[in-house]
Amino acid sequence: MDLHNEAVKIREAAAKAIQACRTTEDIEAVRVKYVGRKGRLTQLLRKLGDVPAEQRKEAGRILNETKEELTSLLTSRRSEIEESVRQQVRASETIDVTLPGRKPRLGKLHPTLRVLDEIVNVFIGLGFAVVEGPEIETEYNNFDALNFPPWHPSRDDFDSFYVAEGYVLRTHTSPAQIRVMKSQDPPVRVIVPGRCYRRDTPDASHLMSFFQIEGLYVDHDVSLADLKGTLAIFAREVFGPQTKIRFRPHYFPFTEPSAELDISCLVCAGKGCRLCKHSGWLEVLGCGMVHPNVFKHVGYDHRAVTGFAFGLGVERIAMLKYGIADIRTLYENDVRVLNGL
Amino acid sequence: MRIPFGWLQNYVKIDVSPQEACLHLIMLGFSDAEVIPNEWECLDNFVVGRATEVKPHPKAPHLKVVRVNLGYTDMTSVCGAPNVVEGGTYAVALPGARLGGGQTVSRAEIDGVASDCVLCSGWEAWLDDSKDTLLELDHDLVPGARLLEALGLDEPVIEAEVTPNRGDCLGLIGIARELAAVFGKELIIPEPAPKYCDADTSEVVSVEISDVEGCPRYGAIALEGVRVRSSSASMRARLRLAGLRPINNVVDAANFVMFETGHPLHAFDLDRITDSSVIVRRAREQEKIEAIDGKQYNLTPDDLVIADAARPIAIAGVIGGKNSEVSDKTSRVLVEGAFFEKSLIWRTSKRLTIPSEAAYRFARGVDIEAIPYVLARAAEIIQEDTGCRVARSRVDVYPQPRPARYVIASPKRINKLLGTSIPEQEICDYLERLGFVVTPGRELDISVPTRRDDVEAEADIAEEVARLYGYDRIPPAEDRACRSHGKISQNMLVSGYVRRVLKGMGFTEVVTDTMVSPETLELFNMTGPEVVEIRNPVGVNASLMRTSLIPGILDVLVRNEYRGEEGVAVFEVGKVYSRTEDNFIEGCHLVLGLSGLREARAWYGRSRSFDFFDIKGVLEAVLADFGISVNFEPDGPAFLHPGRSALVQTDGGELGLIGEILPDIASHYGSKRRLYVAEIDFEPLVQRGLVARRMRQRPRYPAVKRDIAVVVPKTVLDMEIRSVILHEGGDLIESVETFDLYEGRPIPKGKKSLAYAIAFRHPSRTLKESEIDEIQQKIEMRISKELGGSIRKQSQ
Ligand SMILES: [Zn+2]
Repeated sequence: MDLHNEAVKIREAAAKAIQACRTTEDIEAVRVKYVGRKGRLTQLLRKLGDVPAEQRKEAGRILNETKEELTSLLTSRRSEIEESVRQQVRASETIDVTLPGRKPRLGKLHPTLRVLDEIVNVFIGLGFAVVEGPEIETEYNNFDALNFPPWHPSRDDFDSFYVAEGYVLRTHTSPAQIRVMKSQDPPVRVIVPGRCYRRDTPDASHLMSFFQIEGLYVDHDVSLADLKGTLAIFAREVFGPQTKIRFRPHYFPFTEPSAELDISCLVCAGKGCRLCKHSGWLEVLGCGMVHPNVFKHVGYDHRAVTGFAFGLGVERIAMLKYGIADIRTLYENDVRVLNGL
Repeated sequence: MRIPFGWLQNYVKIDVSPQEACLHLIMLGFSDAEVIPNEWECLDNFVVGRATEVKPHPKAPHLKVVRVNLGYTDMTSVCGAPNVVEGGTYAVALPGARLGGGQTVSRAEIDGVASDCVLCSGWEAWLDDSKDTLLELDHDLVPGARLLEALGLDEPVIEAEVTPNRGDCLGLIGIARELAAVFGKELIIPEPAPKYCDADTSEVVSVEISDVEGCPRYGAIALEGVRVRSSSASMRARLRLAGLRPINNVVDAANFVMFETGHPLHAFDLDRITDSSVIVRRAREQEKIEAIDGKQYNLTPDDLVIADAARPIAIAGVIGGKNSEVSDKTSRVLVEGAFFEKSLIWRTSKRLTIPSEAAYRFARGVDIEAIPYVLARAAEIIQEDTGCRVARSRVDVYPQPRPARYVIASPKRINKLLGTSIPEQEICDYLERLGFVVTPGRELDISVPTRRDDVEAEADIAEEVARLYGYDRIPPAEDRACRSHGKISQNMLVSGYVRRVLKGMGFTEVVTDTMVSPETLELFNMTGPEVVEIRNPVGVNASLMRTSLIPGILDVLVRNEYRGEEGVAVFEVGKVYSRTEDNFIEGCHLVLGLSGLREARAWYGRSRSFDFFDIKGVLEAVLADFGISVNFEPDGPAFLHPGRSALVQTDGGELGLIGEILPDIASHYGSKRRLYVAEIDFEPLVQRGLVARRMRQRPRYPAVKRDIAVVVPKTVLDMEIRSVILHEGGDLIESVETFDLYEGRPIPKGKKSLAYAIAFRHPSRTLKESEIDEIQQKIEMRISKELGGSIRKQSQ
C-alpha cells in the first residue's frame, strides 16, 4: 500500500467536497467523512504502524500535513459560508438603528424628599433609627417640655398655628424627642423627618409649611465632641468629602450648650462669593446638648445621661444642592422643573 | 445690635481690626457679625469751612456773599441764611456733593456773583430736619477737614445678631465684656460721679407700684435746672452711628446710657406729672394714650403703664406719653430706671406694633441690680451738658430684692459634656473673665452675675466655658458615631419603595399644601365636623387641614396643563388630617393623577391620551405588588364622573376611589382635558410591608388553554362575566385575561362582544379535555341564562 498516493487522493477528494459545501451542515459532514474519528484520513493514520520503520517518519509527516491542510480548508470554508449567511440576513432584515428608541415614561422623586431620603440614609448608616411623630402636636410637647419659657415669642398666635386649645401644628420636629424619650429608656438614637409649620408670610426663603429632620442621641457620656463628629460625617456625606464644618455658639431653649453648624461654601469652597455673602460659610443647622430641663420633663435622670440633638431644614439643603434660589420653586410642582433636577 | 467700633474701644482696648473682631464675635455666638458699609458716605464731598468775610450781595438784598476759608484755599459762597456771621464754622458742600434735598452742587453764578460752594443747613447736610438756618459747627473744628471725620461719623460700625437669651449684650459694655474675656483684656466700666445737691427725689415725687409682678423694681432720680437743647456734636455722632436719631440733650443722654449698658431709661417732664405722683399699674379698660410718636393707642388691662394721679403718662417699657414728654420748656426732669416683666412688654409692643428700642431690650431682660448705676450714669451725662442739680437720693422701690443665683458645676462633668479635657484652673479663669465668681471646692460653687438670668444650671456654665475655650477647638469624635444600629421606619421603607416604583412607571412626585380653603372642600363635598380647622390661619385660603390629596393633585394637573405640558403623570404620598370630639387623627394617602398625552407623536406610533384604564392599571399593579386584591365597584363621589368612577374595595372595606374628574369641576379649574385621579389609604400597604412571599413550586403538569367569546348586553360588566368563570372553574383556573372588547357590526346594537383567555391547570395531574369541556359548557350556560349573553363560536 502506498500511503503517499492514498493521502494525495484523499486530499483531492476532500478539497473538492469542501468547495462544494453550501451550508455549515455540509461542512460538518465533510469533516466527519475525512478527518472525524472514523474519517478516511484518521483510518489511514492508524495504519502507520504497519509501515516499515525507515519509512514511517516520512509517511507520518505527509499524513499530518494533509490533516492540517484539510482542517484549515474546512475552517476557512466555514467562515465563508457564515459570512454569506450574515450578508443575506442583513439584506433582508436591516432596520435604521439610528432612529430614537421608544421612550419609556420615567418620573422623578421630589427634590425635597430625595434630599430627605439621602440625609436619613446617612444617619441610618451612623446608627440612628427613624421614627415619625404627628404634625398636630400638643403645646406641651412642642414648647413646655422643650423648655420654652411661657413668654417665648414662637408660642404666640402670630408665629404658630393653633387647631384647638393646647394643640398646635408643630413648629419643629423637636417634640418627637419628647415622645421618643417618654416611650423608651436610654440609650436613644433616633432621627425624625417630617413636616412642620410656622406662621410666616411666604417669601424666597420662608414657607408656612416645610420639612425638618431632627436627630437625638442620648446615652452615658455623650458629649459636644460626639455631636461635632457626627455632624462632620453628615456634612461630608451629604455635601462632599472636601466639606469643612464650623461650630458657632447659638441659643435654643432646649439645648445647652447650643450651636449652629456652618459648612464651607459649596460654590466658592470658603473663598467668599454671593451665595455665602462673602463669608465662606453656609449655615445649615442648629444643634446642641439636650437641656437638663428637657430630661426632667421626660423623666430621665439628667445626672446619669447626656445627649445631643440637632434639627435641620431639608428645603435649605435641597436649595443648596440643586442651586434653587427661591424656596417656593420647590412647591410650584412644575414637572418641567422637577423632571430636570 | 450695632457696635460702633471706636465707641466700643471706650470699654475695652483691643488691638485688632473690626473685621477680625467680627470673627471673634461670630465664634462667641453673635451670628452674622460684620462691618456694615458706612451710612454717611453721602457726606463725601462735604468739608468744614469758616466764614472769614460776610458782605451784602450787590444786587439781591436778601443774599450775602461769604468768603469761606477751607484751610488749604478760600472759596466764595452766595448764601441766603439769616444766621451766617463772620467767624462762624459751617458745613460746606463742594462741587459734586449731593445735598439732602437731592440736588448736586456745582459752581453757579447767582445774580452776577460766582458761587463756588454751598453753606449747608442741617437738612442739606443730611443731619437733621432744619432747612432755614445754617448748621453751626463747633469752633474747634479745623477748616478744610472732611465733615465725615470732623463729626466722628467715619468710624467703622459692626452689626451683629444677639440671640434672645443675651439681653445683657444689647449694650456696648456687654459686647465689650465678651471681647475682653476672649482677649484677656481689662473691661473698662465708667464710674459715674455726678455732683449731688441736697434734694431728695422722694420729696418731689411719690412712686407707687401696684403691679409688683409686672414691675419688681422702679427707680427714679430728679434733676432740676435742666436746660434742654440739642446735644453736643460728639454725642449726636455717637447716636447716629448707633442708628438712633438725636432728639435733645436729655433724651439723648438716656439713649446713650441705654446703648452703653443695654438698660433703657425714660425721661419725664417732672412739672407735667399730675400731683407729682407716679403709679406703675395695669391700664384700665378703654384707657387711651397719645405716645411721643404722635399716635393714639388703645390700652387694655394686659398692658402695664406708668401713670400719674390723672392718666397714663407712658406705656411701661415701650414708649413715653406725649403728655409728659421732655421739651425745650422743660426745666425739671424725672429719669426713670426700672425693671419690667419680659412677657408683658413683649406682648404689648407686639399687639400695639411699637417695635421700640426700649421694648426690645426689656423683652429680652435687663439687669435689675443695675438700676442705681444707670440712673447715676444718666444724671452725670445730663449734668455735664447742662450743669443741672441732681438730687442726692433717688427713689428706689424694690419690695422683694432678688436672691443671688448660685450654680454648682463640676469641671469633670463639664469636660464630659463637652468631650474635652480643659483643666479646672482654665475653666475658673474663663468664668471669672465673664464676671462669674467661682469658689473652688470638690465642685465649683459659682455665683452668677445678675445680668445673666439665662444661666441657670451646669449646662449653661458648660456653654460659657465652651464659648471661651472655642467651639472650633473641640475635637470631633467620629469613632463613637457608629455604636448602635440604625433602622428605617416602616412607613418610610414602604413609601420609599412605592415612590420609586411609581417613578419608574413615569410618575413625577409632587408635594402639595396641607392647608386648604373651605371653598375647595365645599367644591369636593369634603366638609364636615371631622375637618381640622386652624384657629389663626394667615388667610382663609389656608385655614383647614386637608382630608384628601385629590384637590391638591388636581391643582398640579391643571397648572402643568397651563404651562403647556402635553402629558402629566404625578403622584404624592402625604398626610391627611381629621378629628373626633377629643382626638386628632393623621392618616397617610397615596394619590395618582394623569392628564393629557400618554404617548406623544413618534415615528413608531400614533399619539394617545391617558384614559381611565391607564390609571387603573397602575393602581392595580401597585396593589398586586403588595398582594392586595381589590374590586372596583362602579360609581363614586359626586366630584367624579358618574359613568367613569369606582370605589376601590377590599375584603376589609373601602380602600379608596378612582375615576375621571367630573367635567364640570375640571372646567371650573380651567382645564380643557379629561383628568384622572386615584386615591387610596396608604396605611394597609405600610402594615403589609415588603414581605417575602414563599416560593411556589414550578408547575409540573401542562395547562389547558381555552378562549371564550361572548356577546352580552352593553350593561353587563366584565366583572360579572369573570365572576361566573371563576366560580365555575374554581381551583382549576390559573388565570383569566380579557383579551378583546368589540362593539359595532356585525354585533347587534346595544350589545358588545368580549373574549376571555382562560388557563386551567391541576397541580398534581394532567387535566383531561373532557373535564374542561364540561366546565366550559357550564360557564357558557350561565352567561346566557343569567347575563343574557350568547356564545360566539371560535375556531380553535
Ligand atoms: Zn461662597
